[in-house]
Amino acid sequence: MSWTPQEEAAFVAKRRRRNLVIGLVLGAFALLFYGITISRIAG
Amino acid sequence: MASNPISTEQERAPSGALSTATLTSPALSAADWSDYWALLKPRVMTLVVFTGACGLFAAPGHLNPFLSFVAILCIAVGAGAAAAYNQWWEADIDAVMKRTASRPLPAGRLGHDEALGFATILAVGSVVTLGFATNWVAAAWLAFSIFFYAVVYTIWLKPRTPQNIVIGGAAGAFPPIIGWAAVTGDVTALPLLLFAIVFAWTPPHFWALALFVRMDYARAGIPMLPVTHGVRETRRQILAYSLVLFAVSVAPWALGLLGPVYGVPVTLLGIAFVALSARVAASRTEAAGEMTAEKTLFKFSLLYLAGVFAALVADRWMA
Repeated sequence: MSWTPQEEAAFVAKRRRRNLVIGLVLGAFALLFYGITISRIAG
Repeated sequence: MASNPISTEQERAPSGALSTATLTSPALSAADWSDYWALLKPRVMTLVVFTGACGLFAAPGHLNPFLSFVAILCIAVGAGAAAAYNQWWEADIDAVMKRTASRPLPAGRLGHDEALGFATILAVGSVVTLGFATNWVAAAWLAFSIFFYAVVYTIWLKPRTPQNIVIGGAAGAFPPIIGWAAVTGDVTALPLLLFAIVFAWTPPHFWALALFVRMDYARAGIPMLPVTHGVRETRRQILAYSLVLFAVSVAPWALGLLGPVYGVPVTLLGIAFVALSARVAASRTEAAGEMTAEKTLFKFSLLYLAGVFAALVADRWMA
């Protein structure tokens, strides 16, 4: 039994969105720690 | 190096489509990002962010605005982690309750291991980040609050005692303490009273809801007070707790910790809360659809908590 093309397309789209959000969250996390460091040094 | 699980011959159907076997692979999640977001119970998070931010703004002293933002974010993420642990543990219970059956875990969109790993990453990440950004006293309170909600409330008390909401209410009462500690590095009388306010507010708030969804709880085998002790006893307890809530809410004013900007509106809100609770206590209806007094109290309780904490911040800023 296999996925239909629609199911596979839906899965790939979900995975793409998930990866995009993970990338954005990781980027935001790096910026957050950069900001924390600068704020602590300044403070 | 591990191969891409969907690119191997074994995992592809002859047509090139993905086989159903790959769905069970831990490397192949069928979850959308919104499923992870739902795991955080964003609506509950709103309340946590609000009370945590009020604790932070009401605290004496100054915290860099960016670090204040980070502290509130960490409180929110920590609450989200606790909610994710809760949903991970209660997936089987959620599956039999109409209100929760469509959540990501009972609906099968998210695996148990994924949820557990996600919750742990958020819990550790929020505590460590809060420690680095502010201080380790606040981080320790955040860690304890996550532990309290996930273990003491969800795993230990909720399935065992009808007083689950009373003790579990403590878990939701920590954010003002964490916000305060983020600024001052310690915990004094006022943040403890703020804790007491949320603690006393939780039982009448949740029992008002539990009264009109009690059949759901009964089906799921959760020993909520309306299920174990009946509708009448729950209504009596709601009124009793609303009187306790009134007392602890006006205590900061009575003790001279806050002024009339806090005291006057909170006294009025408290009188309204007790009046609505008395209406619930006087009600005799057993049909969920006719429980208008309970529904009104549930909605008003949200307004009450928002009003009390808004008055707190207003009073501190005007002092």
